[in-house]
Formats: sequence, C-alpha cells, structure tokens
Amino acid sequence: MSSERRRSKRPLTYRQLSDRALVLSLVGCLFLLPPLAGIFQLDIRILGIPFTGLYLFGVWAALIIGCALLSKPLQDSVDLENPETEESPYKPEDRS
Amino acid sequence: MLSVDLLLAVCLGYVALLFALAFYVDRRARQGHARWIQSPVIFTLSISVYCTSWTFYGAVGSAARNGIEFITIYLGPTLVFIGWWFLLRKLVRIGREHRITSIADLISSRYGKSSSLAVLVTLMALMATTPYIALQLQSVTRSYQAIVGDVDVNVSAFVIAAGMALFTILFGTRNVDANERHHGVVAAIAVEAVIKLAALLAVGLFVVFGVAGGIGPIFENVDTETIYGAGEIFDARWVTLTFLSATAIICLPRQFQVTVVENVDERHLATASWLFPLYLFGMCLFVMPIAIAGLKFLPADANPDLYVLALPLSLGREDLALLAFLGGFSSATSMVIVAAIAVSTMVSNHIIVPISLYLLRGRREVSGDVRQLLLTSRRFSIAAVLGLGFLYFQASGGSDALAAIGLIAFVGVAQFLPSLLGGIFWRGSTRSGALAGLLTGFAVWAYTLFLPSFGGSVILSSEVLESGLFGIAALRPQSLFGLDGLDPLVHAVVWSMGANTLVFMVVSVMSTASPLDRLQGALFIDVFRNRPNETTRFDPGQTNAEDLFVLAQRILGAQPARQLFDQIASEQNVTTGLPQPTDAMIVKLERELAGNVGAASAHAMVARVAGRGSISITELIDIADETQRLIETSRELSSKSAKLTTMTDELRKANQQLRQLDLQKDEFLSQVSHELRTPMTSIRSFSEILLSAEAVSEEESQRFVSIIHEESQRLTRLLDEILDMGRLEAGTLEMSLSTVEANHIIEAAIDTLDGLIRKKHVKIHRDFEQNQNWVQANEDRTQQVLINLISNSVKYNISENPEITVRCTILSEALQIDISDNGGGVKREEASTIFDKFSRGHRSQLDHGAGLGLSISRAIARAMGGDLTLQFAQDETSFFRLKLPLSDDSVPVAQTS
Repeated sequence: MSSERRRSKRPLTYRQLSDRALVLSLVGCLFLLPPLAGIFQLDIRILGIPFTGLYLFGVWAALIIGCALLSKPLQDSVDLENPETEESPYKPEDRS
Repeated sequence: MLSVDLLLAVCLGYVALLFALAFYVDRRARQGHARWIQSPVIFTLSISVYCTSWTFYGAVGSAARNGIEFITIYLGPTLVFIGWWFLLRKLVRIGREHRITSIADLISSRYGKSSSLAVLVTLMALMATTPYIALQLQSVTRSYQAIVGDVDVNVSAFVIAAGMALFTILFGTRNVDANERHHGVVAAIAVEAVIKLAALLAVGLFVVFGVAGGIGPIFENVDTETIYGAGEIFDARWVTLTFLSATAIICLPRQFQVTVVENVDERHLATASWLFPLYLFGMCLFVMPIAIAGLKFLPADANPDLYVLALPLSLGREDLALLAFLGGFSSATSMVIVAAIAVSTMVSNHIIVPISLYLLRGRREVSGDVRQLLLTSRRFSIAAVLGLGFLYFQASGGSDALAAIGLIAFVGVAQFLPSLLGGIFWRGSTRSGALAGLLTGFAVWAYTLFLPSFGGSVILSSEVLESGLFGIAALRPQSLFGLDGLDPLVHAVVWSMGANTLVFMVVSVMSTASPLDRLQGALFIDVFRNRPNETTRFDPGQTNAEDLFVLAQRILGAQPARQLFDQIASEQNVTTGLPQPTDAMIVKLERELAGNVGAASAHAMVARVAGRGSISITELIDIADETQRLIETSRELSSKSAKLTTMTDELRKANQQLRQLDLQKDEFLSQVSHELRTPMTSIRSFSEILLSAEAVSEEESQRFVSIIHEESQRLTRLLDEILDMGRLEAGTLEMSLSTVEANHIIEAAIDTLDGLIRKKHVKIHRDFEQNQNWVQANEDRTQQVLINLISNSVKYNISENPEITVRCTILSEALQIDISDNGGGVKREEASTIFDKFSRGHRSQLDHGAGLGLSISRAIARAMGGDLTLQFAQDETSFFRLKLPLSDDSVPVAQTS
C-alpha cells in the first residue's frame, strides 16, 4: 500500500502540471461566472456576513491554495523539463 | 487636523526614501551584489503595480456605489495567473529570446517586424494610458486636498508629475538597454506595493475591529442591495468585467513591462501564480467593510472614492490617515512610473527613433552617437507622456468622468489581445490581419466607449450620442445597430472585441504572410523548440564588419560595442581585429540592438548596413526547412502506421496459413488411419477365419495367408511411404547427390517394371536427345520417382493398345524428362490437387494406391533441386515432367555401376 502510494508520487511532467493548473482555472471560471455562480446568490447571512461575499472569497481562497500546492512541483518541473520536447513538433493545426 | 507642513514633510521624506533606495539598489545591482532583488517575491510585488490608486481609492468607491461587483477586477487576473501559466511563460520566453522591449515591440516583431503595427500599437497604448495617468494625478491631488483643505490642484498635480518624471528619468533610463531590468525602479515599486497593501489592511482592520467591533456587526442594518448591488450580481456586466480584467493583466503596457520585460527568471512565474492572487485577495478583503463603514459613519455627501482616507480622519486617527495617504500615493506613483517607462519606450523606439533614422539616412559616416540620441529621446518621451497626462488632467478639470477611465482603458488595451494570442498560437495570422483587426477594434472602441465618455463634449456631440451619426439611428454609439438594453461597457466590449477578432481572423485567412512575417511567426509559436541564433540570415558577402561595428558603437556606445564584438570574435576564434560578419554574428548583433531600439528598428538598421532590405534566399530556405521538418515528421508517422498495417496483414496471413496447415494435418491423420485401417481389417478378418474355422480347406487357407501377406506388404509400403514423406517434409531425409547418368536410370526403372509392362502389353517409346545425360541427383531416389511415374502410366492406362513415351530434353541448366501415355491422362480440374497427399486421380479405382506416390515423388525431385510438374500438351493430354539439374562437371565421373 505504502509502496503504491510512493510510486504514485513520482514527479509529474510540466505538461501534466500545467494542465492541472489550467483545469483549476477553468473550474474557477465555472464557479465564479454565471450561470453556475448565480445559484450562490442567496439572501442569507452567516454570522452576519452576507453569504455570496463569503462564497466568492471562499472560492478565491480555494483557488489560491490549489495553485500554491501546484506551484512548487511546477517550478521544479521547469528545471527538469527539456524545453525542446515540451511541445509536440506535429500538431494538426500546423498544416494551415 | 494634520498640518500641511507635516504632510509635506512626510511626503517628501517618503519620496526621498524611495529615491535613496532606488539609487542604492541600482548601484548594488551594478556591482552584482543584489541577488535578493531578483527573487520571486520581489517579482510578484512588482506585478502588483496592477493595483493603482484606482484600486486603492476606487475599489471602495465602486463597492459603495455598485456593491460587490468591484471584485471582478481582481478575479480576472487571479484566473489568468493560476491557470494560464503556459501563456505567461511563453510570453516571457519570447520576450527574452527576442529581446522584446514592449507590447508594441512584441506585436510588431511577431508580424514581420512591421513598423506600421508598432506605431499603431504605440498610439493606442498612449491613448489608453494618458487618461489613466491623469487619473492617478487626480487621486493624489484629491487625497491631498482631503487632508489639508483647499489647495491649487493644478500646482500640486504639476509638482507630482514633475517629481515622477524626474524619478523615472533617473532610474528608468540609466542604461539605453530597455530590455535590462531596472533594479532601482523595481525595488521602489516593491516597497510601494508593501506600503499600499499594509495601508489598506490597516484601515480595514481599524474600521472592522476598532470601530464596528467585528465583521458580522459591520453588516448589521445594511440591506442586501447595498452589498450585492442592484439586480443580479452574476450578469453580463460581471462576465465582461472579469474578462476585461483578465485581458488587462496581459495587455496593459505596464503589466507587460513588469511581467515580461522585467522578468529575469521564468520560474518566478510559478511563485507569482499564487502569490499575486493572494496579494489581490488581501487588497480586496476589507474593501466591502470600508465601503459599508463609509456609508454608515460618513455624511451622505462624502465622496466614496475617498472613504479610505476620510474614515480615519473623521474618526480621529490621523496616523492611519497619513498611512492611507501614503498608500494611495504609492499606488499612484508606482503606476505612473512603470506606465511612463513602458509607454516612453514604445514612443521612443517606434516613433522617435525611426524618424531620426529617416532624418539621418545616408549619413552613416557621421560619428554622432546614436546612443545619446536614444537616451535623449527616451527621456524626452517620459517627460512627454507625463506632460500629456498632466495636460489631460488639467483639460478634464478633475471631473468625475475620469473615474470611469480605468475600465475604458481596459477595453482599449484589450484590443491587443486577438493579435497577441493569434501571434503566439496561430500560424495563419498575418500582418494585414493584425493591422486590420487592431484598427477596427480601436475605431469601434473610440466610437462606442472612449468618445461618448466625454458626454458629448469631445468630437462626438451629444446630438450624435442621442440620435446617431448623421442622424442614423443604427449608428448610435451606445446602441450600435439597434443593440439596445446593454450596459454601455458590455455593449462596447461586445462590438469592439467581436469586430476586432472577426476582422483579424478573416483578413488573416484572406491575405498571405510575407516571408519575414512567416519566419517570425514560426519562431514565436515554436519558441520552446527553436534555439536562438539560428534564424535570420544575411548574405555575408555583402556585409562589412566595420560598418556593423560603427552601427553598434553608435547605438550601444563605444565600450559595450567593443565588448560585444570582442566576445563574438573570441567565439569565432578570431584573435585580432573584428569578427567575421557571419549569419550568427549578424543575428546576434540584431538581437542586441533590438533590446535597445526594438525589433523593427534594429532590423531596419542592420538590414541597411548589411546591404539587404528584404528577406534573403537563406531565410526562405529556413522557412522551407521548418515546413520540411513538419512534413518529414508527418511522413515518418504515416510510414510507421503503414508498416504496422503490413505487419498486421502478414500476421493475419501467417495465422491463416497456420489454420490451414492445422486442418491439413487433421485431414492427413484421418486419411492415414483410414488407409491403415483397410489392410488391417482384411488381415484381421482373414486371420480370424484361419484361427476359428476348422472347415477351411488347405487351398483356401493358402489363399488367405497369401492375402494376409500381400496386405502386410502393402501396409509396410504405406508406412514406408509415410515415413519417407515425413522425413522429406522435415528435411531430415539424407540424400547424397552425385553426378549420375539419367538414361541409365530410366532404363533401370523400366527394367524393374518389366513384369508389369509385359503383363499389360505396354509399348514403351524412348525419345532421348542424347545418349548420355549427366545430372546431379541421387540415383536410387531418382529411380524411385521414375518407377512411380511409369508404373502409374502403366497401371492406370485404360487404352486398348497402351503406349508410353519417355522423352529427354536438355535445357540450359536442367534435364527435362517427360513421361506421357495414351491412357486417359489427368483431368484439368485434378491438376491442382494431384500432388496432394492421398489424392488419387479419376483412374485410381483400378488400384488401391494410397495416393502418396506423386506427393513423395515431387518432394524428392524438389529435394534434389529439381521439380516434378503436371503439364498439358496442346491437345489437352496431360503428361508428367521431371526436371533434374544438369551436372556441373563437364567431365562426367564414371561411377554408375
């Protein structure tokens, strides 16, 4: 079990991490923009604080924490990554 | 009440501190002692120049008027920084690799180093930035006014503008290399970033905990509409504002300056990706409570834009008010300094320098130092940009219209986005597309947002605003083509960005890129794959190293130029004199110069000296190489997949063959057991009769025994044949080949069959071409084959006068023995199966052969290097043809017995 976990902890590539960051951002967009965000416009207060304000700052804080967790491996992966191989030499849109 | 003297003293002291810090850091950095200034934290703090006084004072004002909507201005950059890392990193990499000096330089450089694009972007940036600078001047003078009462706003604004100009000129143009990091400036901005955050947090904490007694209580007795703003929170305006702020963090000239140009290490972006959003988070945390407190505790006529300052003042905390003033001052000045550096670089590089070059054309020998000219032009530009800002401030009379300018500027710079993104991700984008898109977006922006913001006092009259240009209702600036009911900002964004993107793409698709355009495009898009210095080429034959040196001296200065050329010379292993003007050397020089005067100007200058105005053949070859590389990659891929397909095919075929063989083996086994069973059955039954029945006559038992004997013989023969077959097929049958005489073997075979031939009265014709035919074969086995063939002809002959012809013909390498008879032959439809095991012709009812003979004969013939085939003559009669290889020995060895 522990060995399995250790194996799954091998460093992720720059591309994987970069993709994760992008997904984090897109999830952020989803929660911070209509129509989804509209669900959280509620006229209730928690400890006297309007709920939507708490919600917005809460999502914001979660995004920052998520990004901070990605930041260190991302920084390391830039060192590891051979920049030449980062982008596939062949992309379909290249044939424009 | 704070005294004017104290405020002035603190202000001057603060400014003096910034000057001293900048000076100190700059000097230390020059000596190479300021590593800490290149840390990711300082980088992040310098990005926070995003938070201007529009944030510091304006966010609270916006929150007091429109509720929580202000937060979108900070959510956009957050979303960009946490997720669009690859975009920012690509920009930074391109910026470093191509020594980009500004966003105008980036766009012009990408689209074939186009001067017209550079000028256009510069003018747009100038138009968007000037009011923004005016806004900063206004907020500083107003905050000053708020503390000390009535003062001459114009004088104070002028003093501030002049002070900023001085600072920027001192620390922003120390070196002509605009691509170099301005350490002094960055240090000052970082300190200011800390001050503004601390000030806002301090005021917020004071208001929340010192006055209201907690976060909950501050929202007491405040209706939700005040907090959430009127109507839906998450409407089109919310989306638009988020989009605009996300765009601004990339496209604002000052943001481009700090994020891309001043960046020293790509990895700093990783830290900034969360630290900068955290900074924004901190800036926003107390905005809403301060706004609410302002609405609660301040008189209704108080300006919400100054709540941050007015709250501590009215609540008797002058120290906090002073800190807040410094915070606002910091946010204003840091923006002004960076914007002035960014915009003045553009103005100088893309407008003043090209004009000077034009004026200086053809005067290459003039020893005037272009470097001095560059510095002067840069300094003049800074003064001009700030002067414009001041004039704008004075002209607008400090009106409230300025407050809206922040968002208007955002929409203005957002027009860069399509060309920027298209430039670094889309190969098909062209210079014409970018030019057309930018012009369209810019025009729509000016018509629908910028000019109407003056309320009918500038260019567009209020009449036009009301009823449209020339009275055409469809051209009303704020409801273009009848698009009514939208917020003016949303309306302008939809039209300008939509038209911009559409025109950019359509024109790009319709136009063809120039070779240089295409080359730069490939370099920018594949920036992570290309190595530097393998790009633009010039014809060395036409280039004079001395001319290049003179050019470098004039722009870089004598000493740096000397150093650069010495370095290149040592790289080329040239010990004395100037380096060879190779491609790499010229490209390197052009890059160096681009860091000073921008890519377009550098290219123009070097191209002129190098004697080439347009793209060279080698450049074209480079582009072709790039294309070729792609084609090859795709070809490799397709050939690999083709290989896989053929391999699959082969495997499938092999599999089919295996199945067939398996089937044949099964058939063979069942045939063998059947063949063995028949003689075994008769042997068993006859022996049973002999054993059980006494009433068998001597004669009968004699006959039975002889049948048993015959059947046993047949069984043995069959088993021998099967064994032979097995060995032949496995290739283990030993067959020694020697030079033998064929005619002799044929005679021997006929002799062996003599009894049979006589019995059937068969007539044998011999048609031998030569008396002796020497072949390479195994005598016994050859005889076995011939016996088999001739006996078949004899046994299955149904003619009344059976005749057999044996014909020997010599071919070039083989002896051909044809054995034909007149006894019916083999039918055409049997031809394909006649050599199969256990296959018997239609005549075989006459005999009980196992059907292995022909199969074995062919295997033997092939094992000896010959072949056995069934042939058809012209009259459709069939005959067997045995081919045997002729002996190599011209002198036959007499060894036949």
